[in-house]
Amino acid sequence: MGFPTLSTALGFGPPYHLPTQGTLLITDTLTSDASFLIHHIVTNALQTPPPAPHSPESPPSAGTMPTTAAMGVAKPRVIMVGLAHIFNHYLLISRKLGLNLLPQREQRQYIYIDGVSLTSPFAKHRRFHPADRSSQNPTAPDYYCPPFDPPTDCSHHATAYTSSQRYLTDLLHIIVGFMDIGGVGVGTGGSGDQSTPSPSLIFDDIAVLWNLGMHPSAILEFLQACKFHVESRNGSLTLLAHTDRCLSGQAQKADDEGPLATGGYEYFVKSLMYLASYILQAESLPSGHSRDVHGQLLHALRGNSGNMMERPNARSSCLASN
Amino acid sequence: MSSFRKRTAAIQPKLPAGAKLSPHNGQVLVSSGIPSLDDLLGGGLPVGSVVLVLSDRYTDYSNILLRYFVAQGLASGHQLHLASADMDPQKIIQRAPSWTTTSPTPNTSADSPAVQKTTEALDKLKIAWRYQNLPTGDQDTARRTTGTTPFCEKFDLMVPVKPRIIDQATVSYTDLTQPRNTSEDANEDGNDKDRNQGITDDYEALFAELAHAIEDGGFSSLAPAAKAPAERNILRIGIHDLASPYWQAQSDESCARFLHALRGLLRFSFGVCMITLPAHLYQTESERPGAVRRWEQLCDAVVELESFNGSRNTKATAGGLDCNGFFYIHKQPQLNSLVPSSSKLVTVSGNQLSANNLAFKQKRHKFYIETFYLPPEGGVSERRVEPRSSSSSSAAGKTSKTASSGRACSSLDF
Repeated sequence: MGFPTLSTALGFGPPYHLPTQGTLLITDTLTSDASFLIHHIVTNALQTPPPAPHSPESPPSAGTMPTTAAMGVAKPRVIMVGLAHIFNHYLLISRKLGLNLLPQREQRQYIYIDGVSLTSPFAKHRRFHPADRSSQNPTAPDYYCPPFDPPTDCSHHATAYTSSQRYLTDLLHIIVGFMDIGGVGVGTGGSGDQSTPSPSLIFDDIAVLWNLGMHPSAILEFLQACKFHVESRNGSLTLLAHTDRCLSGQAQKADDEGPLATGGYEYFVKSLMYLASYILQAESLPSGHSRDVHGQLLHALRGNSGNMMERPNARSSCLASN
Repeated sequence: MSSFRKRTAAIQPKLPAGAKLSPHNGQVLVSSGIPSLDDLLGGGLPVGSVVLVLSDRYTDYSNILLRYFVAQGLASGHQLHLASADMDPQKIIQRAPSWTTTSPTPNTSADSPAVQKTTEALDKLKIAWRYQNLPTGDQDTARRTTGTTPFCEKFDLMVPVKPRIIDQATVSYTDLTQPRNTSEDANEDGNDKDRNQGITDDYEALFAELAHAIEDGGFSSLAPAAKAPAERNILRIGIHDLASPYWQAQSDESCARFLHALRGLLRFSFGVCMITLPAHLYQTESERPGAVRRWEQLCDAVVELESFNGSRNTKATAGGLDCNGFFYIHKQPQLNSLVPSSSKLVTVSGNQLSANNLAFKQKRHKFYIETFYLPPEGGVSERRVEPRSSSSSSAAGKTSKTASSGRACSSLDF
């Protein structure tokens, strides 16, 4: 059930643990790790069925869950693009939080796309493909991001952009393909419109794409497309990015143009914030370290005219419950 | 028979030598060679992780950490892979500290236990039958009979490790000090250089070497089951001064790409990597470098050494201190767990967990990390010359009052 106190603190309301039709941006720093929010969102999305907006005849009560599944009401589906951690990491943590991802994966409710093993351009030197053992290994991912092949001539701006764009377009096709796989429920078996679930697309650490040297404009266009596809299917998009203060001064290849030049990391993060409708900002306490409190969580809703709520103890309370 | 049975070693999966399971999350851990560092990182370095050590300025303490890491690998019988672009990587292992206790070598374990058992049986004092099968207090015999190595040896920095031990160990090197071969040179070199053919990037060449060492050395858990060795060993990778000016990169992102690829490689292998990185080279006048922070995000654990000799702020005051510098932990290893295991297991109070700072000390024989404290004001020697005043202040209540008043009188009564 994730962290119950965090669910109430986030204020999405008890049945809606994730904002539907919204983009959530989670930012953290090196000292205040916000990956617990990702696990919280995954467990909540998979454990509580969201009420179907197009079928008012199904009452959202807890006792009728198997019948609603038999009726073919959309179940949630989580598509995780793990750029920072392998599947085993998510599996073990979600097990501690009370959710077994393996059966969820068999039912195609949880889809994991591995972005760790092969995404780096250097990974082409590996001889053993991780997919070789996938037949015996139940924890093998559903899909591997292939090695990103950067252009050899990096000085040329346009080639860097086109190669990243080509790579990300391929990745987008894969993700959209996973969104449209029908027949989640065991009982339904059909491929009708109603059984296609509303997807939650999660990128654990979108900054990795930037670190690997992909062009920021290409990444932003890719995310824009992801957002469009997700929202047209009544789903949500969640991104995790790092916003250490020292990172913001870094301009990529364009030092003379200042931090706000296109290509700088600060511009990238600000564009992500512009894309998002909800922002969760995890940061360490400005007053210094404390024994029980790891940091504070800032919650901003962009639609509601900058309604900022400060919840200093959110993280400490949820970590205590673990 | 009761259903509760004591877990014996036979049921548990066989761990590689010198490894243990974390009591917090069951992760396989190996030692860094420094017990206090192991403790701060939650028991040890998790297998499959990358540990980044940000070097100190002007001094060379970070390489002591790397030498300890290498020496512990030698002591546990692990395989080693060392890489450097600044110096010959063989120098790292040649200056590794030796350990005081003897590690089991195959020829001693073959004959000595039988001899020892007979002598032990003769002069054994029978206290109680139930203690008979328990291991004796002597560490050495217990180890020799069970065949396991201790998790962390005791090292002596004054004595370098013997060349005989280095010869026996399986060590491979990636020497990046040579200027990169042009394509025709690589063709002439022939046999084992051919996998690096045409690679002009030092990071890429190193990754190709590491992938080769892990996948062909039997350390990958992705290898086909037929090829997997019966007994797993651990590969320790030590990289000296990554991203120093000697590293030739094709693009600015090479280091980040290398670290991300390394994470993907190590997660599926029995390997652990320690990297020292001269972060101060990237530091500007006022703030921490953004490029280094990106690399820190791509590693699993980040520690930093700041020696008093190298930092501007503490240089003036460091004269009376008996430690050599500050030790920071920026990131704890968090593999397969939500909270770092050090949050529950650590005994030295660190700066992440409480407000205390950590300091490292290098004595003649050992290197260790402990909580930083300031010495008594005025120094220790000044305190010691007045035993009377200290005893009077420690005496309780009325007597101390009378003593002080008496002393005050005596000073007036001149």
